[in-house]
Formats: sequence, C-alpha cells, structure tokens
Amino acid sequence: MQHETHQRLGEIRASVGMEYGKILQKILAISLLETKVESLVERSVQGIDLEMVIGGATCAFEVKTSEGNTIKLSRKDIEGLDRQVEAGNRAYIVVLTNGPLDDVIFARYHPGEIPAGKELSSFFFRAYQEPALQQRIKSTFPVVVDKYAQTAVEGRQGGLDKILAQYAEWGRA
Amino acid sequence: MIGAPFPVRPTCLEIENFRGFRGACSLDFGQDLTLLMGECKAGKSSILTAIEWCLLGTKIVSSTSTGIAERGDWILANTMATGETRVTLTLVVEGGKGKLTRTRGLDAKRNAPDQLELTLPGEQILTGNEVEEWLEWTGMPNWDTWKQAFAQHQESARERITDQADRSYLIASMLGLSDYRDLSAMLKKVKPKDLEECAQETLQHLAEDQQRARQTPQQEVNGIQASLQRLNVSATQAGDAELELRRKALIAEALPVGEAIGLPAEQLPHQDWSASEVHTWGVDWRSQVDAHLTPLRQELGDLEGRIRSLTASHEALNPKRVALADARQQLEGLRSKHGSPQDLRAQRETIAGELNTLREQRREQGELNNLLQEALGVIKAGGRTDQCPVCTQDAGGLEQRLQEQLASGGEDTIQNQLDQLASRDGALSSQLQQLEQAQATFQGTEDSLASLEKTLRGQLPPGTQEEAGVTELLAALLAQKVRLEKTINLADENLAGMTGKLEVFGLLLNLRAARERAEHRAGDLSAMPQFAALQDKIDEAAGFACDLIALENMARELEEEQAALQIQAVNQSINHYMSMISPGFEKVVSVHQKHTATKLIYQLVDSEGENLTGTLNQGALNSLSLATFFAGAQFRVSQGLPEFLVLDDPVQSLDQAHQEGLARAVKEFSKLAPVIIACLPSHFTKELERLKSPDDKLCRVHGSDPIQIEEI
Repeated sequence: MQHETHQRLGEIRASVGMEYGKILQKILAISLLETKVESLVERSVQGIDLEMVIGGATCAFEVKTSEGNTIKLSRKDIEGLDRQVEAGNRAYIVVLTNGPLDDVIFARYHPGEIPAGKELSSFFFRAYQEPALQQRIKSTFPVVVDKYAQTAVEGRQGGLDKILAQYAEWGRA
Repeated sequence: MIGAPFPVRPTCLEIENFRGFRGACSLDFGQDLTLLMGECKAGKSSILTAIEWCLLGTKIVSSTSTGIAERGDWILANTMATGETRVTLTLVVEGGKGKLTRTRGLDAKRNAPDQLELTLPGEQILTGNEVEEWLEWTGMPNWDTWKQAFAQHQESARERITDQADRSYLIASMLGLSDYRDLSAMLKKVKPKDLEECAQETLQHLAEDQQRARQTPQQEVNGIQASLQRLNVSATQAGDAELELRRKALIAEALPVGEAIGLPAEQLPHQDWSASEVHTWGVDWRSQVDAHLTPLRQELGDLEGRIRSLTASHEALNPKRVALADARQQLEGLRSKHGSPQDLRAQRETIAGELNTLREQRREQGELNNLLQEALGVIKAGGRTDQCPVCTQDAGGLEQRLQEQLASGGEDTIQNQLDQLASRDGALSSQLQQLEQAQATFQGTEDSLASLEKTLRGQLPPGTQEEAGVTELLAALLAQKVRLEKTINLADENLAGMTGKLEVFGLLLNLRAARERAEHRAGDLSAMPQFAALQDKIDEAAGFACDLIALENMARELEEEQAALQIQAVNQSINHYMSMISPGFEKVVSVHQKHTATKLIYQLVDSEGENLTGTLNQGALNSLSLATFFAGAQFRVSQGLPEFLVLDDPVQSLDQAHQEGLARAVKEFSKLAPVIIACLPSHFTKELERLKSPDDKLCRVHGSDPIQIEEI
C-alpha cells in the first residue's frame, strides 16, 4: 500500500473509531464500483458484507479489518461464507490489517480450511489471495481513499452512502 | 514402512566374552519358544541383552534418551576376558541363513564404534552401515520398535503403558499409524509459523526503514539550511540557475590554475560536467593541487637559493680583490724596506756567528782576568810588590801593571758588542716575522679570491664574461622566480577561495537533493519493483506454509481414518491377551483417541471411558502391559514384518493364575513368532514345561564361571 493511502486510512481510523470497519467496507465498495462491475450490493446478513456480480459470476465478500496484523472469523462468519459457497457463489474474505506495507487481500474462501475463532495473520490469507481482484482495485483504491477521506471523517457512513448512491450499480439488501 | 521381503527370525546365538560369559558359548533357539530358566545371577538376562546388543549396539548402553537409563554405566565385556567381545546371531533369511556379528575390541573405549558384519547366503558379506541398511530394509527392529514390540524389559515394561507418550506411541504403532505420525512430526519440525514470523519481521523492518526514509529528507533540509545560514548563504541559491552559475564559475576558476600548475587533463573539470560531477571532482581538488604545488614550492626555494648564492659570490669578489692588492702592496713595501726574508735570514746567521765569537772571547778574557787576580793575590801575599815572588827578579811596578792590565781587560767591551749584536738580531727577527705575516695574509687572500672566482665561474654559463654572465644569469633566475611565485600565488588564492566555494556548492547541491527527496516522497516502497518481488516471495512462503498446514491436517485426518479402521482389531487383540493373562479381569479395555490442539493421543480406557492406567493394581497393570505388548507384536506379524519376542522376567507382581495365564498367552503367541524368555523358576515356567511342544526349547542356566546352559 502507498504510504499516503496508509496515512489517510490511519487518519480515518483515528477519527471514526469503531465505525472504521463499515467505513472501509464502503470505501472498498466505491473502489469496486469504479472498476465497472455489473452490480454491487451491500448485505446486512452475517458472514457477508458485499455481493458483487461481475461477468455473470457472483462474488461474496466478508470484509475484515484489524488494528494489528491478525483477524478472527467467528463461527457465524464461517457459516455465512459456507452458505455462499453452497449457493454456488465465490466467497472471499477481504482482509485489511494495519501494517504500513499491508495491502487489501482478497482471500478466496475454501470451506473447512479456515478455522473459526482463531487469530489468523494476514500472512495466512496471502496463500488464498486472488490477484485478479486485488489488481482490479489497485489503482482505484488509493484514489478513492484520498478523494473521500474527508467525507468519511466528516460524514461517516451516511456521507459515503450518498457517494455510493450515485452509482447505478449500487444497491442495498 | 518398508515391507520385509522375508520375515527374518533368529535361530542361534553365539556369545564370547560378553558380561558373565567368559570364553565362547552358543545357544540354539527353539522353533517356537525358548525358555531360559535359572536363579538370580545365573546369566539369563545377559543372554537376552546379548541379542539386544547384537542387533542394536551401543544404543542399549547409551545414557541418552534412547537408551535404558539404568544401564548408563553398563559394562559389556567380561571383566576377566582376555579377548574381544563378540556376539553372533544366526538369522533365517531369504535363501538360507545369515550370521550377524557384532564385535568390540578388548580395549575399546565406551563410545567407540563396534565392528558389525553380516554374512548372507552366497558368502555375501556386509559391514558397518551396509548392515544397518540391511536391517532397516528387512524391517528388523530399531530402538523404538524394539522397545514397543520386541523386548519386554523389567526396567521399562510399565512405562510402555503408564507414560502417556510411550503409550500413545505404542497404540499408534499397533494401529498402523507410524507413518502418519512420522509425517506429522516431520511437518511440525518445518514450523510454518517460522515462515510467517520471518515474513512479518521482514515487512516490519521494511516499514520502519520506509518511515525513517520519509522522515530523514526534511531533517536533512533543515540541517543543510542551518549550515548555509552560518555561512551567510541564502537557501534560495539552491535553484538550478544559481547552481549552474556556480558550476561554471568553479570550472572557470579551476582550469587556469590546473593548466598553470601542470595538472593532467583527467584531473581538470570538464565544461559539460553536471553540478554533481563538479562537486565530486571538487572534493579532491585541494589534494590534487597541493600535490602539484609541492614540487613547485621546492623549485622556488631552490631558485631563491641560487640567486642568493650568485649574488653573494659576486658581491664578495671585489672586496676580496681590493684586500689582495693591499696585501700585495704591504708585502712589497716590507720587502723593499727590509729585503727579502732570505736576506734577513742570512744576516741573522752572520750575527749568530759573531755572537758566538764574542762569547768565546768573553770566556777567554774571563779566564785571563782570573789569572791576573790570582797573580795580584800572590804578589800581595809576598809583601813585595817590586819583585817577582817566583824568581825574585826585579819586577818593579808589577802590581800596578797587573792592576792596569785587569782594569783594561776588555770584558765590558765584549759585553757591549754582544748586546749590540743581540739587539740587531732581535730587530732582524721582528722584520722577518712581519714579512712572513704579510706573505701569509697575501697568500690567504689570494686563495680566497681564487675560490670565489671558481665558485662564480661554476654558476655562470661556460665562456661567459664574469660581469656580463652574472648580470645575465641573475636576470634569468629572477624572471623564473617571478613566474613561479605568480603560479603558486594563483593556486594558493584559488585554493583559499575554492574551499569555501566548494563547501557552499556541496551544501546547495545537497539541499536541492534533500528538497527533491522530501518533495517526491522518496522511500515509498510500494512503488518499487524490488518490493513487488519481495511480496511475491512472501506470497510463495505463505502458500508453502498453508500447504504444510494442509498436509499436517491431512496426515491427521488420515491418521484418524486409519485408527478408526484398526481400532476394533487392536481392541480385540488386547482384550484377548488380557483375558488369557488375567482371567478374572472384568473390564473391557478400549483404545481411545483424544484430540489435542496439535496432535492425536491414544489412551487405554474401560467401557466407561475412564483411563485404566490410573486405577489398576500392580498385577493388572503388568498384565495390561504384557497384553498390549503381545497385541503390538501381533500387529507386526499381521503386517508380515519380522517379529520375535524377548521377555525378561515377565512374571513380576503376577500370582499363580496370572503366571499360568501368561504362559498360555506366550505359548499361543509362539505359534505366530519365536519367543525367547528368561525367568526364575516359577509357576510360569512350570506351566510352560507342561505346555512344551517339540518346537520349544527349555534350558537351565547356571551362573558359575563360565556360564553354562543346559537343555532340559
């Protein structure tokens, strides 16, 4: 991750506190929308945060952020991801840890391979990362962070929702 | 596990100088059962450990964790032996019989390697590591399998089921899980976590480096600006245009100096050099100029010396010439006045001759006067002054004449003459001294003048006139000196100014570079191709680590599956032997698999799931130990692996019923694989005697020296 992007995210985290996970989820959504997806829907069900359709395929994302370099998936998270796989979707855990050099990792979820309730480092998820998805937001993510950092800090989730609402492909369920 | 092509088994044991055995001794094993019966100290256990030593060597006496702790100071050789220790085990192998011989020299040190030799059918002989490899290939016991499924030692029997690790290992072996457990152990050693920690550490260091790289340029800018301020130079001078002017000025100032002092072209700045190149060149400028100035300064010093010398020589010449003329004039004046020194010396010689004559005359006169005085004395003594006192002739006036003669003797005259001559000689001597002194002065001045003239001549070009030559040479030297002084002054002035200018130039250049670094956010690793390559490597490591974890999980799952397949058979086998050894034992023994965070462990539980080893009495515990031992050995037999049991005093804590039950179990097992037992005479041995078949061999061991084995 570029230094400026990391700094911006740090500023956002310092300002929004507990909302940071949701804020980042929306920034990721904008970054994905900037890459021309067919649809992107925000889900409120456990285990899934975003559902994206691209090339006719559905991708389900569970976004996990951490102040350290590990994240933990709950049993419900795993069950939600399992359901997505059972439904024929591609399930991903989107990991963003707090290291200055850490990038967003789109880790493909394979049932049974990721234990629930265990602290897992970003290193572990590297083995499952999907370069194509990461490459997709490589250029848009830093721009979006830079562009909407102020909105995120001042308008929080509502402010970013207004931005998201401007995209025709965006939806909430 | 490698499957044995043929189930190897022992048929005969030859022992020489081993522990209680002095000299040689041999024992043929029974086809099924071999019982060695005897009192304490008879040597029964030594026979069994001879088998063990022959197969496993120093492992059985090692004090490491693989050995039996109590045997840390175990002595192999017979203390009275005069030859080497040797044990030979005859084995039934594919195609006939083989002889496995382990030998240890008489004076071999404790940890010295043994000689190991195996003779196979067809006279094929293997030695050392070849034998070890052959034993492994045939599935013969290693130290672990020996402890678990071959030898029931009184020292370690109970540990097999009371120690959690040993018990778990034993049951896992019975379940055929050794390979999975070995794989798990191997994967655990690779430690995927280490890869993760290494990657995190690397990234952490890089992040810190990046942080420092980002902070440093601005600190640098501030530091350089402060330095410039101290030199009264504005930081605005770090602009491109200003630096270009300074660059050109430095080159322009340096070139004439370089040319003047004769610097080679490669040491001179080029007009097309960049500011950085000029600065780099400037770092060495002073030393290069100094290096060339040193000989020039030396040359100038020499030149000044020559000028001083020439001037001094020339200026000293005329006074010396005047002095010489004066000396000559004085010398000639003296000569004309006094004559030559030769004349003076001749006059002095004449005077010296006259002085000698006069001194002779004065001596003679003295003698005459003495005679006259004496004559006067005589006359006066005779009383008659007119008569000769000798011949009494008339000599009137004699005394008076004598008086007159004495008075007119001439001594004073001679003295006066002598004084006059001495005075004259003194005058001549003084004149001669004056002449010689004047001569010496003249000569010295003449020599000095000649030397000066010679020196001067040496400095002048040959054939030149003195005065003109001196004038011309001095003019040339002075002109050369002026040129040199001018060059040196030029270089000195340049150096004096250049040092400061180069310092400012360097600071301005550094300021510009530091500003660029600060402005362009240098140190952003994410944009560097090397960082991308590192990320790829870390991704590969992560993939590898995950593969290892997956493999470990897979090994564990396979272990679980395999255990599930075998567990019933093992339970049956244990309970079968347990029911034989301990007829009244009411509990049903089951193998229980327990998951821990990192591995599977195995326990022996009753039908209620309670851990058995914690509740059993000594007899039952020993019975269970033996039952699991038989079950483990039976599993090996079922796998077609070599198997033979070696039991050392297995009846501890067993009553008659248990001993007889054990005898029946042994007898039954001996149909599957050979059994060799050492035991005190007991209900157990009696029962085996009762059950004896033609394929069994029962022996009595006597403990006298040497040990004797007698077949019953």
